[in-house]
Amino acid sequence: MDLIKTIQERRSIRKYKDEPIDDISVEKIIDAARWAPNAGNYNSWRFIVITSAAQKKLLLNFCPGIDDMPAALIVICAKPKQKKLKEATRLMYMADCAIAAQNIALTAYSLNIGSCIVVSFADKALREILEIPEDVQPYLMVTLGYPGETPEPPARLPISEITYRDSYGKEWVK
Amino acid sequence: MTEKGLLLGEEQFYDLLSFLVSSAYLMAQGEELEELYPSLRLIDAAKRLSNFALDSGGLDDESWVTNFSNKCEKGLELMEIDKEAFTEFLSDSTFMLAKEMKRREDI
Repeated sequence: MDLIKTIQERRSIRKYKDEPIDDISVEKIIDAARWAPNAGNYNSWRFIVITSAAQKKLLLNFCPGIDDMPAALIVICAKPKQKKLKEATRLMYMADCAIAAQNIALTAYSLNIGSCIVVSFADKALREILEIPEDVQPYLMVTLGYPGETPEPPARLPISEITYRDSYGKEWVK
Repeated sequence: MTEKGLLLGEEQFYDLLSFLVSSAYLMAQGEELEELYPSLRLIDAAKRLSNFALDSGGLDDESWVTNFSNKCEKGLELMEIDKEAFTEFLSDSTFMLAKEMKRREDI
């Protein structure tokens, strides 16, 4: 699948078919995530894949923005090298997780699997349910499933409105 | 007005409670009164729902819900006196509920 086409056609999916995703597809998706660029090549991501019906239901109680049951959820965590994190370092790990999330979403789309990246979850509850250790930080969650909807592409601002040349506010001229 | 009654199962009660409390936690995005007020109202709803459940007499274990309702009452008072403690209370409440719901799953 053409990369630019994949990027442009992928949509966030919030309605799913009641159909499981096989482990081979999940592993392809995780494999793409681990090839994401990451600071210092630390490979600090940890991915928790939730497929059991009971665990998914329990978890979704603490993610009030998700209103349809996905086939799987991937919780993207970081296990930092450092014991104490400065703000900049914390942001670095968060960025690593976000880039991995994009790889997950794009790879899922290439396999005809829908996804939605979610930040709206109660992290203490999530830690308790998934038994996440103290030194591991959950940053993002991605829902996965075969799409039960085909959302229209949302409008995007034109390049000229969001891009500047050489300094902020200076018009982008080709 | 009819008196048909409204049945809410215990599982639905916990599902709705966790939805309210998680939403309260996630909506608390600032330190100003107006930024925390939606969370306050959601916790108030969680407390009222807990009290309805207790009044119905249909709970298997009333002690946890009684304790939770009392904590909500104290949490509501916190917003006026200590906003940081209020947001901490919101986060702790999600943990408390997750722990209880996980325990109930394991039974």
